[in-house]
Amino acid sequence: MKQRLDGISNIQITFLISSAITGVTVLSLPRIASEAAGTDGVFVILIAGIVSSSILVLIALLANRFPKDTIIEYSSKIITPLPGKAAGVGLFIYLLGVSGTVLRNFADVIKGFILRQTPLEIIMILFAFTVLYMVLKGILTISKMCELFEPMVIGALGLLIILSFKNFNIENLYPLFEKGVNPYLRGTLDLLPVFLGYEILLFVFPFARNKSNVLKYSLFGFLMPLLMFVTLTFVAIGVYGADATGRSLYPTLQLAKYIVFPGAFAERFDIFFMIFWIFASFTTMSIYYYLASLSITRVFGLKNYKPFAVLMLPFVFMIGILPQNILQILDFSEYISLIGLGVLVFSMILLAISFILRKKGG
Amino acid sequence: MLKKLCLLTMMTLVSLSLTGCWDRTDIERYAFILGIGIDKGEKDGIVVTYQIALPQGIMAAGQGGGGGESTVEIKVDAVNKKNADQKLLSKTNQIPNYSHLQVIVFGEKLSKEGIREHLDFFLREPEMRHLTKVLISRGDSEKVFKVKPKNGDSTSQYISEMLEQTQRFSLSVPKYVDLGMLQRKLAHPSDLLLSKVSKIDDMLSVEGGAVVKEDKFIGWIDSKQAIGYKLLEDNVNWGVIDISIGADKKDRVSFQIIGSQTKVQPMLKPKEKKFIFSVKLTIEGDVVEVGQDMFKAFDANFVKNVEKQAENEVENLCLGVFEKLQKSFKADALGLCEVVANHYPTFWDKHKHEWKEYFLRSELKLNVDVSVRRIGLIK
Repeated sequence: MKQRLDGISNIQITFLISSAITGVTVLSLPRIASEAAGTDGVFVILIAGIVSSSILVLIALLANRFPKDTIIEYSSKIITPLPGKAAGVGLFIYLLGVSGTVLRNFADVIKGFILRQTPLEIIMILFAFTVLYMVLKGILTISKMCELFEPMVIGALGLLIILSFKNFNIENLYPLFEKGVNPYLRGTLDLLPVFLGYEILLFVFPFARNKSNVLKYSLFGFLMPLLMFVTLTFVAIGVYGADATGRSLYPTLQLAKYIVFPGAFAERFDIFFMIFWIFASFTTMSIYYYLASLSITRVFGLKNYKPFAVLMLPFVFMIGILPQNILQILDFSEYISLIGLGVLVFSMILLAISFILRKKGG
Repeated sequence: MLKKLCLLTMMTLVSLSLTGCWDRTDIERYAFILGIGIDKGEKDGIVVTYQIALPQGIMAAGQGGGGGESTVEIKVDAVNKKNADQKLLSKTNQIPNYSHLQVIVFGEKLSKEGIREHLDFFLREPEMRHLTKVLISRGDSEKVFKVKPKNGDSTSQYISEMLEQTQRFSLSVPKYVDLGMLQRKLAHPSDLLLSKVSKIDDMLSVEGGAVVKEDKFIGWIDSKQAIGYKLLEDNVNWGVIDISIGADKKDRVSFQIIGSQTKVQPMLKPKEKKFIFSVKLTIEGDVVEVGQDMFKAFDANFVKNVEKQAENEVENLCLGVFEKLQKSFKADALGLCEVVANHYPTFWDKHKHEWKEYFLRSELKLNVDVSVRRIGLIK
């Protein structure tokens, strides 16, 4: 007899985490890395990744103490309801903010590179509606979609990296370890937000089918983007050098523009790559949008998130339309990622308090 | 009944959305720009020559029909590159498209005044690919595009393929520079060597190179100096050098390089404020043509002699180009500054601005090792 299985499977957890991390930032990642630490960027991004993965372990530890609740509920249990609710609203604002920035970053790149005559608003509305449609289907559908899309995204990134090796020049990667420890510390701090995405574990943990395996599989899910990000930075600096990479708005796209596809059946590799990048942005935004609607529902103690998901749409759109130009978009994304670091700190505090007060749920 | 009505509405709506090509632009409406020539215009202006593909002409040539032209050249006076694009629009019924741009050719006069400002557009424009090659032409670039290759290819494709193919087999054609490479180089002001294209009678030639100092073109290097340049830059794939052996240096032997490796090791002399670059060249190759007595090549002494003379020749070629760049151009087109920055990062951080003085005092120490592997099919 076939048993109906509820919840997110192990492998889906892997791809869910992975797609939450690989989002729009893939395009600008090598720039952020080489801006932060020059040629040492490759190592700094690796260190930032290792630090992030240890935070991921701590988050999983926290979520494991309350296997039936999301952070919205157990923050109320740990730090009494009122501050807990306030924190829940804060989390909601963060998730909404991320959805908005993903939407705007996505639309801006599409307008700049592909649909140059389409109004920005149209691109944003179409994308937001597609995401809404996806979100209304629930977390299980989203995880299935991630399971389907994420391997393709990782594959396209891998192809980009491999084909870029033709233009690779090892000398561009020197000098290494010349500037002392300081750039490493600063750079690590600068690059931590790049890996944001694993904090979704605070919300999706209760939906997992097999809770004892979540940590292992989410670490797998973290490992894929980590590997991709490090090699991508390595290749970008190897091809363009740290200075030019830091001066390029979307260095990943620039790498794609420099590729000769063997056999030349696809003259423009950059367009080919963009297709998969759209997948990546789509899954990222779907996850965050879903979690935003979920968190506000839980803050009010309600069950059905769908009305909120629909109601949120204009707000996400407004956040997305807020920045007036590319400079403001970059600034805005930076603020949002600072809030993201705040979320990490907050969850660490929760973990500490729950340990001290020996609070445990479910 | 309601279900059927729903279905009907759905079908109508779907059929409406399926006609989604309302804003498509036919491929014939695009002007695919294959090559761009930029020359000096009157006063501060520039003259831009666009070479635009005519798909009908290319297809006719492919089918052996001949006849029709495969490209059309349009000349525009403008203040800068984007301004030229605007003016081009008023001269053609098509929309310019850069996704197939093969070459950008700067005229001699214009490049003497600087090319950096004219490259900005190409690096900023999202449509541009980074495989476009950048050259400097002898005389005005406009002349170059007037040469029509006999095989029906466009001039731009012809130049582009010429650079790609010949630089692998010929030593006198240095490795071309494309936009991706320029993006890297222009991150800080540096000297470089661009490909040179010149019109000789009715033919095009890409022999030699153009030295660009900071961003101004300052002079040519000839084909012999290009050989030295390629050897020093470690870009040699294949290629032949001519050597003469024998007591009276009358016997000519052609030595074909089939593999070459160059290692550059800088050494700082702080007192003299200079660098000594020890260059180790390891070359192997075949004897491919022997003058005079054809049966003398199968002989250990002969082979040794060839190796020795080849070493001398390589040394002369390398020193020749180094001296030319250092003494007459005072330009570090070999990119030795990058080698120094890699080996002496702390020195580089402090003395970056003094690099030119260090370079002018620097010396080249060559250590060439040539091995002859084969002598062809005649014993």
